[in-house]
Amino acid sequence: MSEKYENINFDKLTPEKNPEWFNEDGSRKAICEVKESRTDNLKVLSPTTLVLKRFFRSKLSIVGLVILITLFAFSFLGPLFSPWSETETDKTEGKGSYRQQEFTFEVNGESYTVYDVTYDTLSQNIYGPIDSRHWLGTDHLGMDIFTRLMYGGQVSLTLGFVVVTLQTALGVLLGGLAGYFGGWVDNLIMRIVDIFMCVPTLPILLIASALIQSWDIPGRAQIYYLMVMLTFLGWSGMARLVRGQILSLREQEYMVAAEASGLSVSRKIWKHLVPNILPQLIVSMTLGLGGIILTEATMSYLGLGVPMPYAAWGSMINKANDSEILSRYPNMWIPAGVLIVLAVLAFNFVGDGLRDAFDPRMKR
Amino acid sequence: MWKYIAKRLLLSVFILLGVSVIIYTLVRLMPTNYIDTKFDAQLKQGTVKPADVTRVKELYGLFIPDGRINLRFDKEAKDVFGKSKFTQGLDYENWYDRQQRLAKNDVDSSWFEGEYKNDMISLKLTKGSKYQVLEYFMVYRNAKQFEIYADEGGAYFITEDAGSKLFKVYLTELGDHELLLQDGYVYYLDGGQVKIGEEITDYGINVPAKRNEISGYDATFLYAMTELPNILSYGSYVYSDQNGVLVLIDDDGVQFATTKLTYGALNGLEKLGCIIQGYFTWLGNFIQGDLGESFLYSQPVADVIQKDMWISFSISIVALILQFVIAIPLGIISATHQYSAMDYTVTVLAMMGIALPSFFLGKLLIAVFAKGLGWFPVDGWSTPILPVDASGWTIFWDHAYHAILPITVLVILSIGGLMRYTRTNMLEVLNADYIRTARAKGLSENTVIYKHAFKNTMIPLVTILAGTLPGLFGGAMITEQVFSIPGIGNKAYKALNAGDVPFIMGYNMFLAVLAVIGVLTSDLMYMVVDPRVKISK
Repeated sequence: MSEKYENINFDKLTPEKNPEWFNEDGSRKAICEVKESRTDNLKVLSPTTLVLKRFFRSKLSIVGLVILITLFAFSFLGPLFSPWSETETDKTEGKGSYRQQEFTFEVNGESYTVYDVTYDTLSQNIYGPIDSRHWLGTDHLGMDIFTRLMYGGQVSLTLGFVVVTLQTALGVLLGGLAGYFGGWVDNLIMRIVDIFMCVPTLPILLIASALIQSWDIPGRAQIYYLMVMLTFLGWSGMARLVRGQILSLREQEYMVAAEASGLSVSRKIWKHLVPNILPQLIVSMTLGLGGIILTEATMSYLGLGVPMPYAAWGSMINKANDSEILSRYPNMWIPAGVLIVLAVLAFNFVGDGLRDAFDPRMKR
Repeated sequence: MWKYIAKRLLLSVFILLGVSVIIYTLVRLMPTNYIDTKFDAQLKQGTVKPADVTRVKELYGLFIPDGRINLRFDKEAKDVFGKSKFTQGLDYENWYDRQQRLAKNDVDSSWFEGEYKNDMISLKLTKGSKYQVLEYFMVYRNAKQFEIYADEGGAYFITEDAGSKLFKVYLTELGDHELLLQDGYVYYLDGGQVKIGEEITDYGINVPAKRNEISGYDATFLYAMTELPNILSYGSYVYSDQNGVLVLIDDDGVQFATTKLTYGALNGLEKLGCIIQGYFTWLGNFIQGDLGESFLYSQPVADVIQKDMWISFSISIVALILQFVIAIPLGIISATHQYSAMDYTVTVLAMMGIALPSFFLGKLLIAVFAKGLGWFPVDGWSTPILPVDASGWTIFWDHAYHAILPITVLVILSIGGLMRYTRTNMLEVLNADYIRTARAKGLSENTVIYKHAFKNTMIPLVTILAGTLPGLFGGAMITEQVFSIPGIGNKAYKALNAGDVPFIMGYNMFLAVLAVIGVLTSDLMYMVVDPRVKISK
């Protein structure tokens, strides 16, 4: 109540003394002064906005997001600005090797020192140093490492996204079937999931990629087969997650209500179940991406990913198997490793952030 | 309780069967000639015995019970024979008839007629003979040998009398053609004109590769094939050399056709039959504990696994203990000081561990601590120049010294996951009602955390431990490869590269068994540790 009315004793007001307070019929006037409505200050926040707000509250999520955006720009936009292409060899003269020998001998009591300087130049700029033309030097074939990192990133990121999408699609389909229909469908699908859970992933992937290599598939096309293999071996976790979610959601009251109001099956699934699983799916997709990138890197490290003239982060680290490169040319393999770590880390940060943001219990 | 365990065991057997089907199918999908190329070099080096290759093929179901072998000819073969004619060449009945007749000097066949008279051959080509592609006949008469070929361009003629030369005879019309051999030339009558046969110097086929010179691991195998009925018996002998090239050779060692040979060209149903049969043979052996013999290590697979898994286990168990010892306190601190600087630091470090690829971390540690600072050996499992009479302790410390870097890698990689798991669990427990009760009772914070909360946090951790233990025998493939540790993981990696099929199959099944045991023990452990879990099924 504003100050204007503070000193008024409303009980002592009479129509005779204070006619301004009374109506003509003797009843008191209502005090109704609307300064500003409370609802004017309220902003209606949609669930998405709430999630985004919570997501951006976490510093780690923002860091992850920034890293991811940088990595994407680096991999997909970087090549446009790079003067080198993925498999282009720098044909200019290399730094070569520089040797200096010193001979000292005496003639007639005078000491002479002869310097023998040999300077070999290479026809190609291999093992080139870090300079303005090659920001991270060149590798053993004279190819620009910085540019190859970009193309390697394209492989890793594209593969990660495609595989995770395929895995989720398969997982949602089978897990959804199992969870929604239950009974023998559930039993059958879950036993298959059990089997896939016990398949040793890495050795099987190695067999699979040996298989792919034996088919004589040219260059980059091998990656598509690799994607199929990774999907085939990795969908089971997603299926299990979706099934569990659907099983628990099915028992919720609102699903009972949906059932009771006679909604169609597709409406129940698409309007009631899917939106409720979506947060979980997005989180596990983001977290899964890191794992897939690691697997891809491991495969290319073992020489079973993208074949050699093409770049992949893993196969760049593979060069460190040469002990000369390992100790003398860290610029050839360390950047690739750092990028892998950054990519996986960023996906994990974002995934964690999303999980916390989606979870309403995480209010702080 | 026992009913539940029995049910779980049954389920485990089912899972193992499923896994074995997947593994078997994948290994079977590897094409056979791929296996052949894999073994080629090893056969030459003598590291693989032919018997082993036979075993691989057995695994692939190449030998069919009734002894029939199907050969697939690739495109090259079609170029040599022409598709339709080639099938005719396979027509055993016709060939057999003709061979019989040729043997009886009865040269009257449906395709060609010839007569030898005083250095002269009269050749009667009947309709159709002109179109035989590279049909090959040998005529013996009076101890003299004549060979006649015919294709669409004409007849080819070769004889000892004509200086073993090959002549091309152009026949413009069907009917009787007189051929005359004189002074090493072939004269013939065609269309009422005497023509001289054109000498052909470029045979287009490799002459004379002696039969015994063509050797290869499959020579005997394919030789035996010719004796089986219903099999390609074109000419006299069939050989295959190292490159899988099938060579058809006549008695004199003249090689007259080569083609590439690949195995396993059965029709779909037969193929499926072989695969299924092969699977059950393999499964039978597996159940009896026979995993076959590794080609690469020339030892039974089970022996190799048994011997090498202990190296892997010793490294992994130390890593596991360290991992638990480090991760659990960190997780608890991080949970009790949620959102503090400490929590953030620990979380970020743990995440870094999760994000590090094992090979990169391994290389990094080697580059810094082994190559750079020289504190640790670069790789290997023992010092090569250890004295012969070194005591057990010396050897032990040597191994331990070599194992430090690999163990570091394993610990750093897995610490993150465990720490985060502990943290989440601890947070959940700290929010539980009984913790509030404990606090309400006025217990000290330490008692609350370490007596009430910690014990309950341990429940899932103990089940994780139980589930991880069996997997330790499986080895860490990449880490062992990076550090050249002769554990089971490294052995398996080498076997995979060498195409050591029995070992791959055996190792994968071994891993699957370990995984199944892991799941089983962790579930049973959960029941034992947590009395709240009741067996409802």
